Amino acid sequence: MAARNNFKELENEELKKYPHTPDEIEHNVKGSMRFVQFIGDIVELYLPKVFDLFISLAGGERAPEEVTEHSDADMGGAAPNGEQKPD
Amino acid sequence: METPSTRDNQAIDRKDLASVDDSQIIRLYLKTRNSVYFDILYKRYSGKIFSKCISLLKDEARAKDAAQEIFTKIFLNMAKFNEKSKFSTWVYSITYNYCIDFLRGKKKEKRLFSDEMENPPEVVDDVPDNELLEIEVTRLKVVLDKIPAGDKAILLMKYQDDLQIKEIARILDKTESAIKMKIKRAKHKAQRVYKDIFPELH
Repeated sequence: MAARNNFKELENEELKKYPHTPDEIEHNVKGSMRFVQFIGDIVELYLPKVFDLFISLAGGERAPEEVTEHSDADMGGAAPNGEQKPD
Repeated sequence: METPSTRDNQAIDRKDLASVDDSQIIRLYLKTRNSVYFDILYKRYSGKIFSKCISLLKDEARAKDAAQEIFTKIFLNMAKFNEKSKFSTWVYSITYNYCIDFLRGKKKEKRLFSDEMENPPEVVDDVPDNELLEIEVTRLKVVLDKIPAGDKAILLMKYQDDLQIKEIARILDKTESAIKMKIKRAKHKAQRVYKDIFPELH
């Protein structure tokens, strides 16, 4: 390849002509990123709960961990003869 | 939430940004989603992307919109970057494809390259690289603005970004031999335009 490359010179000149990219580009890109991240967080946090809610409303079984929690509470929360345990 | 390791990484980056390579920053960004890493990559590539968009689209307002969309695309698809090529190559491929698609859509025609299928194939002599590379800068700009945008893009990929034939082929989704032919024709076209516009120099 030749030693002189004016394509590179042209690139340098264009970079000099626009030394700073407009701030609004960075601002808007960051805004889009934050929005996408926010939606991702919402989906990650609440979507499983929404599905659980629909399953419950449709008469489905509760999530396994919830059932276990309640069974433990039932067993420990009341005495076998039906009397409440003292606090 | 910030973990101690995240804070350590930030400290490394802030202290010695120049020595951290793109791949490492991408890995850190994907791991932490911290905007510090975004800023580093943005600063490294925003100028080049913006100037390429202006050069190809020839309109500052459009170039702004394009650069914004290209950056959003890059950061949303960062996880898909597989490190088979350099990050810069991947970034340029998104930039060129976006600009070419935009121009294609704008012109409502497919003839962005001078050797599209509908053009009868013609045998062209190979123009020596130095004949193009040594054209004076302002004249080179005029010549590049006169040839089809696809031809301009392919010449920029080869001579400005030093992309290899196989990388250009991947970017444009063509075979290597097709790319070689496109480069040959683009060079020929540029030389012809140069001779037409500046006949006094020949």
